[in-house]
Amino acid sequence: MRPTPLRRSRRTLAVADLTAVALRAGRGDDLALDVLVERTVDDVRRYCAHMLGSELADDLTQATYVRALRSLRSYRGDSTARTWLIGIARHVCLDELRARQRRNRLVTRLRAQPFESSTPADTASIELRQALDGLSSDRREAFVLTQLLGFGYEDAAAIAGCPVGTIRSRVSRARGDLLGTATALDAAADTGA
Amino acid sequence: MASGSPFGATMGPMSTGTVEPPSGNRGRPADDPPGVEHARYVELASAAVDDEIAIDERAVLDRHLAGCPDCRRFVADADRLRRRCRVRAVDASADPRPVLAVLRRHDRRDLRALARRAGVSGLVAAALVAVVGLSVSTHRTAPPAADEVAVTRTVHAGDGSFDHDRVAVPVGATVEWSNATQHRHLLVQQAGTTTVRTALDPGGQQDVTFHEAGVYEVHCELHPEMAATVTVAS
Repeated sequence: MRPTPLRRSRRTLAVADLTAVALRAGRGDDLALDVLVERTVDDVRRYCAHMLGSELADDLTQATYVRALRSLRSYRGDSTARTWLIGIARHVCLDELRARQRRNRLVTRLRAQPFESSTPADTASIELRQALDGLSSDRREAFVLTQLLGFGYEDAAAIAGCPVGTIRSRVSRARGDLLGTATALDAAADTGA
Repeated sequence: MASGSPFGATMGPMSTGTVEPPSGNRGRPADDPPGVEHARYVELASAAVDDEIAIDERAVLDRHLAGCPDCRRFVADADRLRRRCRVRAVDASADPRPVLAVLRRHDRRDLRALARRAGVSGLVAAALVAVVGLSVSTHRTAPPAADEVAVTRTVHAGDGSFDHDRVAVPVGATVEWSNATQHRHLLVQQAGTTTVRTALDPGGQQDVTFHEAGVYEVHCELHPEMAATVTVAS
């Protein structure tokens, strides 16, 4: 996947079941830890970026792995490594949100703070981001988990800590909210944005 | 929001026999009581796009789609949106090197300082849930007395037990409760009349700073077999 030359064991880990890699990392295998990070960092960062904006995404990603490393020893593979990691990322994001709300409590009395968005690479993703920012956080999360990260409804429900039916309804409503914007997105894409 | 949406723009009189109001919140059928029935089909259609629909529901949906051009259009739009999201997901790529560098640079037993350095302020401080008792605080920002040594012990809550069940710390030390299990834990920390409750979500972690000496009995209200003792010495 990455152009760097791989040692044999690394190559094996690169295709091994991710949960097995995580369990191995939990037993102190540094190489397995590297591979675990390499294979999951995209998803973790994308989740964080969509939940709290991309300026914070790197810090939140970092914090997620720091926290994951702490719990890795007691990870037993009850859920897949990906689900487990995104669950941790979710906690990191929620903690940051709460901290932010606390810090901003006075400020928000003076002026309503919209969700902070930032500058992704291309116009089309800016528009998708803006469209997502307009969603309620529940719907946004359900959409990000299932559509951008590709989790099934059951895994998404496990991560969000809600029933599967709730995810289903949130995804449906998020789509209803987004489709107006999505037609604009399609137009932008057609003109080469 | 209603104006740009295919629903708002095109939803006309329904051919399915569902009674629809002549106008109104068409873009948000879920919020529109007479549209509740239709919202149910939209939800089915949405689930079908993700292939998360049961066989019997699929039959119900197919019957509805046959007579409802709006829902057919929703399926087409939602499916296009889904594919666009997947393509973009593949494009995006994050660099693992900074994360790896940070994880490597530090001794794994001393990750608390690292979490602070990770730049996300107040991450832990904000996470406390319910605190009762004057002698214990969960504020990491609580100013330690000048002669207090900042000591932190991490205790992992596992399934049915803690990885350390006898923890001894000096006054002013912080115990960091960490939960790597899939279950919520509700820790009760009790010494004499002082009780501190700490809720630990799956994957979560909470700091509790002990400002008063004593022997704190700790158990989980949800898993009574989980027990530990924190001895705080002056």
